[in-house]
Amino acid sequence: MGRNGAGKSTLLKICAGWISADHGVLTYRGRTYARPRLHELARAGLCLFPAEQPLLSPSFLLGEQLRAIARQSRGTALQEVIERFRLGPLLNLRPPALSGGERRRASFAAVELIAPCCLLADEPLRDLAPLDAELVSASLRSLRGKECAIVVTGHEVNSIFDLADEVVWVTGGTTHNLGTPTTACENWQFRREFLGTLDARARAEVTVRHPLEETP
Amino acid sequence: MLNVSLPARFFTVRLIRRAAGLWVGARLTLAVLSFLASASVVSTAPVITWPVVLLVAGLAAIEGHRRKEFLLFANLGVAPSTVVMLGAVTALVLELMLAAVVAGFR
Repeated sequence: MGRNGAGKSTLLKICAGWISADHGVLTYRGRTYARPRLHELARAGLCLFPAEQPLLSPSFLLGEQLRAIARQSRGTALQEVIERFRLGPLLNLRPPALSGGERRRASFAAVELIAPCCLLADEPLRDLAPLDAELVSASLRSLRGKECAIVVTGHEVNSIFDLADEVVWVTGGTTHNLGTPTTACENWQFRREFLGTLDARARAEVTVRHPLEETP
Repeated sequence: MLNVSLPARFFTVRLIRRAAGLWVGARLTLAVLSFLASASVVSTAPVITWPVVLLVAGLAAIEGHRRKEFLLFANLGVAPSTVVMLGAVTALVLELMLAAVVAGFR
């Protein structure tokens, strides 16, 4: 978690080898990568779900892509995934013809077919209708149930805290492990600077005045 | 160690077809240019024209980037260079076939 511009997405892309870091190495499943590349990490079970770039190709039909991914991967049965994500009527369309929510569902269907050991998902719940958000959340739970380690970023605090085992706060150019969502909520600094709900200690330091109170 | 992983057959076939289309386009464009310039820009001798192969490889890379397909392929363990290589190999095969046809007519 972190405020806009804190570097969550950049950190995730660096961890996935999608963009290069200025310095440092990446260690994944016991192997150290001096210059990590996503395709190499993907062969070791990593999957990147970026927020601003579509996961599926806009050129091919959704059904064709999902079938091809299912053949290439060792993931869940294709038909079961199509039904669970309600993609049946959309299979003969190309991704650009789908709505944002449908595209997200289709992308997560692809992720489930890939069946990664580690998923880095950047804002997977952003701008989703409640039902679509529930389907994506259920998908994340399903992947977790299959021993997939998942890193999720986003600002949907309630939904993400329901899913998360641990909260990491990205701020000031570094990361802070805040522990479980419950302990994260107890961290006054995190509450003051990210959640926006002021606890007693923060309230003592910050004076919040309603604009109407200042008018005589 | 060379560790090349091809995409699924569906994607491979589509990429080859796309590269073939790019090769035809590149060849036609060069033919028109050479006609307009009244010069032999492209060799018609029965040899492979390497610039055409490189051009198709470059166009394949641009197309993959434009269609934002590298993320999907990378998530499937396929390097962007493999996609570019598929384009180059397709162009090379087509150049060989063209060279063989031209040699047959001589």
